[in-house]
Amino acid sequence: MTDKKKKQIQQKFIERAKESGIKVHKNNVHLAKPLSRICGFMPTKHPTSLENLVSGR
Amino acid sequence: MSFQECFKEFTDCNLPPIIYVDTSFIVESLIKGQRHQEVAMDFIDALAKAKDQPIVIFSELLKSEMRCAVISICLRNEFGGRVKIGDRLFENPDYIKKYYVKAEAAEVKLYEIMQRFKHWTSVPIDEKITQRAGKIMPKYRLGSLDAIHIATMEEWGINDIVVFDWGIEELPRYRANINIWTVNGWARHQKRLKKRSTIVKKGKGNK
Repeated sequence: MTDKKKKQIQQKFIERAKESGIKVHKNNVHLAKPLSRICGFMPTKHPTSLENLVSGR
Repeated sequence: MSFQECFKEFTDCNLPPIIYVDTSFIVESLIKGQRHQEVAMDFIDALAKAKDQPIVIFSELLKSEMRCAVISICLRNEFGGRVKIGDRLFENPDYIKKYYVKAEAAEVKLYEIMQRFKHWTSVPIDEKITQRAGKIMPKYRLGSLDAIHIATMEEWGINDIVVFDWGIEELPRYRANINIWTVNGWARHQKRLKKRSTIVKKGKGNK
């Protein structure tokens, strides 16, 4: 698929979303946080983490 | 495989104009210790750094699915998989408070990931989508939630989905013009050998 065709598809989607009242968010990607700071989220203490081993769990 | 090699694979292949993101992929990329976290993060990075960055789309369903997944992982980490959502233990207000805070934090992280993309959107589930989901469920042999994701894709004319879910992965057998971006099956069996998994594209649609 050519770049021109891709942009056409993207534009068509954005227009359709606007018609349906759905917001397509536009970002300045240079201001985004590094991925390593976003991912690696730990939902709860892992049973094998050092902290838990020290506390004798 | 190093990140550079992995990234080269993505930049060499033809990225789609629009890509649909499944809950399984987001959960895998966000949560530390998940089996394919590294490859999921690399894929996000590759998409974000690509010259022809696709529009990233997910269903409103993702938010509730993700919350449910985070709480399940919390419970599994704390009780070793013996407790499930819906158990009486979960009625304890301390647990509700503890786990819901974590689930909300995961949603914040999701929006932080989306800041890396020039264009992204979450699409709501409407009557057309639920009706279509009901029809395609037996046709594509999907579960109800997976069917809603696929119905959303069909409704919006999207052909590419990134998913780490076995249910959806076999979809190209039933629907020819769909592309599944997923962890390669062989890598799954290499876990014991600690080999690195990669993302592969299944399907021949939308060349």
